[in-house]
Order: sequence, then structure tokens, then C-alpha cells
Amino acid sequence: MNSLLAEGLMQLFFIYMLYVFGGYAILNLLALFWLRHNNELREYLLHETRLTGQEPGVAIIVPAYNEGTGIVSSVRSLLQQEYGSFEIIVINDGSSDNTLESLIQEFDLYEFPQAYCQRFQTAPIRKVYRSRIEHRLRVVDKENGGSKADAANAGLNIAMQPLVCFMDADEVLDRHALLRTVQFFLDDKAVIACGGTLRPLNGCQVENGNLIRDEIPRNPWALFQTVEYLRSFLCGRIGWGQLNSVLIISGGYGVFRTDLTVEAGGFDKNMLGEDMDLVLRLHQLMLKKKVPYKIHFLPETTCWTEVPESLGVFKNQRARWQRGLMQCLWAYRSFFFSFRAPAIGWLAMPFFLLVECLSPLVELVGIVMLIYLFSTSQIEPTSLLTLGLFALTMSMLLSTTSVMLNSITPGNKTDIRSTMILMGTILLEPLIYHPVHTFCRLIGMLQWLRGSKPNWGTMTRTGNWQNS
Amino acid sequence: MVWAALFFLGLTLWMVIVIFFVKRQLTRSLNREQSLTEIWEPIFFGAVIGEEITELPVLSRNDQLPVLKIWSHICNNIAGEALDGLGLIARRLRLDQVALDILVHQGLRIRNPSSVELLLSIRAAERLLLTPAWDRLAKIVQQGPAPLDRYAARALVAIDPVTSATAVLPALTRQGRWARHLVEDLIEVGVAEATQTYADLLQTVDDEVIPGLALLLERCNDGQTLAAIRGRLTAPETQDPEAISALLNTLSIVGGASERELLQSFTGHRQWLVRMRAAQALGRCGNRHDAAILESLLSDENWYTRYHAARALLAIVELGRSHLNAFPKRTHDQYARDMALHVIAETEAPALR
Repeated sequence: MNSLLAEGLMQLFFIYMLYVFGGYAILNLLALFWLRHNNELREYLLHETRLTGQEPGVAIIVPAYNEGTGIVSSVRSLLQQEYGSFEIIVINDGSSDNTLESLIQEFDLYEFPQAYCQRFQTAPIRKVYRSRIEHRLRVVDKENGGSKADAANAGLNIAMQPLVCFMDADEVLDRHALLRTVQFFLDDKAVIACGGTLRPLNGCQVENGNLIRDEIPRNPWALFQTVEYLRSFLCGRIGWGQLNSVLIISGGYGVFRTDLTVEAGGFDKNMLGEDMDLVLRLHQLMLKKKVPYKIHFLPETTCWTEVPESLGVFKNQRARWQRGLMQCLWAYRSFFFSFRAPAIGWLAMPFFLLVECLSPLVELVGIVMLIYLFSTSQIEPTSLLTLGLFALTMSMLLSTTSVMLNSITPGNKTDIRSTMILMGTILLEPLIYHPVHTFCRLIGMLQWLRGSKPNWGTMTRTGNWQNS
Repeated sequence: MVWAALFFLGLTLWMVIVIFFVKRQLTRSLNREQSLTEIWEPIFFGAVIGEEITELPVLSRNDQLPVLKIWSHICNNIAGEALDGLGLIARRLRLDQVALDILVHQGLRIRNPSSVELLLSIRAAERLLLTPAWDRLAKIVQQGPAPLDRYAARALVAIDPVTSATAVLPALTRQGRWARHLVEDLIEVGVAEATQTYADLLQTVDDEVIPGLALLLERCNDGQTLAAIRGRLTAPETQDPEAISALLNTLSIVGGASERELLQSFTGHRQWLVRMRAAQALGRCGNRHDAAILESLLSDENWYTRYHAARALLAIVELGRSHLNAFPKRTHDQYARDMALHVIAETEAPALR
């Protein structure tokens, strides 16, 4: 390789790094700006708002597949929502464990002759149950549909409230989550969806559905994921929210207008990234309708979810997320450089493609190339060192910003000790967590390219955050 | 490129520093608020129970806003005559002037007020009836931002319910389908005094304003407005299904049984939202003569219409439960039968364990 080519490749790699880190820095800045101007007001309003019972109703849909360990705790936590009008719809998606039995026993369920509204085709419904103890709880028992989307659609089929909230069964919801989220809908009728920030549940203690101790995980792998979640939710999504270009509302927590979700076609069971697919379809629908709309993102921690502590489960999860992302970007390629939605077409979609999707490949190629150039003495050791130092410093500084932004979000309970531990994690993350994460995403890329059959996958729950 | 790299590095570093200072400022203001609460809360509570307070502690300019916040918080949890004592003490502390400074004379004492400072001033304008802030409040209702517009609308209604009617409409429109919450707020500050003014406005506004306005008239529930609601419902320019369904709802609540015929005429509307609302309305004010229409709606193509038709059959006292209980045996339509069974089971929930 001649030196001119080597120089060119170095420049290209450097430009890519500038795009990645510059993009994240600007998203961080947008998030900081928004938090600075809205935090105090939102916290003040939370204490001022009185529930009148006239709030728009929310149907919380909880797809559950083999969630016997934590389903009762999750439903209990949902029932403690400080919100005027909501119902809970748990979908038992053909679980082979005791998910249904534990719900029947705990909430005294009885069979209910539901007039089932088949808005979306799903795997057959076996029975619908209601609770004798909690009139707000319904449980749909269905055959396994092979995807979370199928279960969520079954929930959507019986949801009767104007707003619908999708979440996972292994989560504990903050008791103000719905109130905080619905506030966005009440403020502006143009708001059609709103996502929320998720945090790892590992390390916390939950009793009767109440989060009694909010601590950072002790497991190092879960600790790395805490930093990653903060970076992704607090900076990325709030930043994109300011440009009305949110492309993902995590399946872990999101509130949507029911009518538009139905009109958009619900969830697509062939998509692995069904949460991203729905948001993109909503963008598409509203752009087609030519009606002004907004998709917001909530900075406060709205729910806690158990993250994988073992490498095997982590690998499967991340590979699946990567495939879901690639599938969505490909399916909605018409958005790229579209003038119908400039912020999405020119900023968000290219950023998601180049940074969120292709970064593992670029990193791999870049590192191999740099090693080759260095070993053949085609680049100066100082250039290599400068490049490496820049990448390391920027990634650490950006993670630091996220951890610190977390400390100024309303309702944050992270103490100084935990913040210091998170800072320490940031130092190790690029060396330990990042390479493994990149490797898992590369596997996902390969799986997508080979067209492997998509499946929901299994997530082993420890459930050790529950007090008996 | 090196400069770009240095710029982003510097920017991120700057952000870390800014967040650090924001955090420090937050902690300090929280501590300050806590110490001020210890001083002022007993005084404000004393005013609530009618204690005579001869001497007040000196309130420095820096402490005016935190004290306004404490005062506002106490006002929010108190109603009736007890608020008079709090109003008097606020005037003695010149908190009304602080609110006006923020709302009207921006730049004199507080340049660039934050959203919370604006909100506190709007709340003070509502409680202390600060008429000089009228134009500014109307501007906030007109232009936003949310949620300050909701509170500004409340303040305008509190100051003058009748004159504020036109000014409040943009907030009702912006809330659209979610306006019920705002309407409750406005009822609390006396919007019912202006019911007739709102009924007059109903004839001239665009369809998009109607859902919010109809909710307000529904909540005020004044028979005098019936002609206006009926007139707008039958007017040829009323086309939006959301507007029609909102008016049907209001008509059935305000008008009652006398409006049955008009309500029946909407059960065959091409939009399901209207048919559904008509069924619901008939359940509210219909009688046994509406049973046939409601039974036919039980076979409607839309799930919600079928559901509300079944609920309506149950709601008509003259028909009683037995009518719907017997329906599944009489019908050959599986959808109608399923819905009837669903509603029967829903309203006959087994006794709690």
C-alpha cells in the first residue's frame, strides 16, 4: 500500500471518528439544554398536579413469555401507579413455565367472556381472564406467536383506552411514570408517542412491587450496561427528541395514542426491532397525513429492567438488537435523504446507519488496517497514539456527561458513591465492555446478512432483586 | 480536522463543567429553600388559621422567588376563605409586585425568567387577581408554551370569567381531545359564570374548537345553553366527527330525554365515532322505545359502537338487566351475542374474595 493511500485511509477514519463523536457531543448538548430549561418546571408540576380522574385512560400492555419469576412483582408495581385511569393487560404468550398459574393464584383470576376484537391477526387466543381482586387487571392467555409483536398485538386487540403503554414483563415501573408521560400528551395534542428512560434493575431491591432500594448493580457486566443505558437514553434519545427525530421508543416503556397505533398497523411480527419499526411507521403515517406531530422522550427514569449478567444471554440479546436495527433501516430506506422529514432523512437515519449500525464493522476494519499500516511502518506511532487517545478521551468524556446528566434529572436517587463507581466503570468500559459489545453486534450483522430466521429469543431472569 | 477534533473535545469538556455547576446550583437552591421553608411556613400557616401577624421577617430580594414558591405551594393545598389570609400576607410581602415584575415589566428586576418563575407568577396572578397582567396572560394562552398556557387560562378565568371567554379558546383548542383536564381546572376557578358567553361562541367557532368547548358546556350543565348546542349540532358546517360526537355527548347530558329524537338521527351516521357516541347518549337519556335502535347497533361493524350499544341497553332503567340478559338467546348475530355476554359479565363482576 503506498503512503498516499495510507494517508487517505487515516484521514477517512479520522473523519468518521469526528462524525461519531461530534454527533454524540451535539446530542449531549441538546439534551443538556432541554434538561436545564425543563427539569425544574416538570418537577414542580409533578407536585402541583392533582389527579382529577379525568386524565386520559391508559392501557398498559405487558407481553409475558416464561416470566414466572417476576410477573407478579411487575403487575404489583404497575398497580401502584399514581394515575387516575389505567388498566393492565398481561399477555401470556404460551409460556411453558408457571407465568399464568402464578397470576391466577395471586390475583384470583376468573375466565371472562371477552368479545374479542380481531384488529390484528395473532396466534389463537385460549382464554381471557379478569381478576376478582383487581378490576383493572386482565390476562390474555394465547398460544405462542413466536414474537413479542404478536403478543403486543393481542393486547392491542382488547385495549379500550385512548392511550396504550407497552412494556416488558421483567420491569418495575416508577409510580409516577404514567403521570409524567401523559403530561406531554396533555400539554400538546400533537404529541402522538412518548418514550421513557430505562435503568438496570440488577442491584435494586423490590418488595411487593415497590422499589425499596435503588442501587447500581454489583455485577460488573450489569454495571457496564448501566453506563451504556444512561448514554443511550439520556443523551441520544432526548437529543433526537429535540429534533422530533426519535426513531426508537424502547419496547421496555413507551406510551402511544391507541387510534394511531392501530391505524399504523400495530406491530409487525416479522420485525425483530418491532419497537423501532412501530415508531418509523408512525412517522410515515403522520407524514402521509400531513398533520403536525411530535414524538417525545422522557428524561426521568420511568422503569427498571433486568439486564443480562451472563455473557451468553448478553450476546444473544445484542445480536438480536443489531439484526432488528439493520432490518428496520433496510425496510425504511425510503426515509434516507428524504425532504418530507428533513431531520429524520438527513440527520437521524444516516447517523443510525453510520454510527449505531455500521460502527462495529468500521471499527474492525479500522483497527485491522491501522495494525497493518503500523506494522509496515506506513504511519507514524505518534499519529496512531493521537488517534487512539482522541477516541478514548472523547468516549470517556461523553459517558461522563451522561452519568452527570443523570445526576441532574428530576427524581434521581443515585448517591455520590454510586456516581463514583459509575465513573470508575467509564474508565474500564472501552477496554473490556466495548470490544465484547462490538463482537456481539458483528455476530448480529452476520446473522442478518445470512438471513437467519428471526425469533424472540430467551432471556434468563435471575429475579434476585425481589424480596419475598 | 485537528481543529474540529479539538472543538468537540473542548465542547464535551465544557459540558461536563457546566453540568457540575448546574448540579451544585441545584443543591444550593434546595438547601436555601429548605431553610426558608422553616422560617416562612409557620407564618403562612398562621395566616391560614387567621392568626394576626403583626411583624414579618425581612424578605430580601434574593429570597422573594423561593418564598413565592413556598406560598404558592401552600395555596395549592388550601381552598375557600383560608386563601384570603394568604392573599393578604402576600400583598404585605409585595409578592404581587414580584409576580407583576416577572409577567409585565420583564427586565426591571428579573431578566429572562425561567419557566418555573413564570409559572409561579401566573399562579400568583390567579390567586391575587392581578388585572395588570391580563395582556401578558392572554398572550401566553395564545402562543404557549405548554403547560404555562393552561395555567394562564386559569388565571384569566379567575380574574374575569366572562371577558376571558374568547381569550381562553386557544388553550381549549390546543388541548383538543384531552381538554377534560383543563375544563376541570377552569370549573374550579369559576368558568361556569360565563356559560352563556361560551354557548354564544359555539355558533361561530371552527370545528376544531368544538371538542374542548362542548366539554366545557357539558361540565357547566346549564339548560339555557341547549338551543346553542342543538343549533350547532344541526348546522350544515358542523362536519368533523370529533366535533359532532362531542356535541352529542353534551346534548345528552344537558338536554336529557327531550333530545332523544335528535340523538336517534345520528345512530345511522357513516362515521363510527358518531354512531358510538349516539349509542352512549341514548343510554344516558333514552327509554324502552330506543331498545330496537340500540339492538341494531349491537350488530354494528365497529367494536366500540357494539360495546356502547350494549352498555346503553343496560343503562336504560326502564329496560332493566333482564332485557340484555335475554338478548343473546334472541339474536342470531354472533358478534352481537358475544358483545352482550361481554357486557353482562363485565357489569356482573363476581364478589370480591
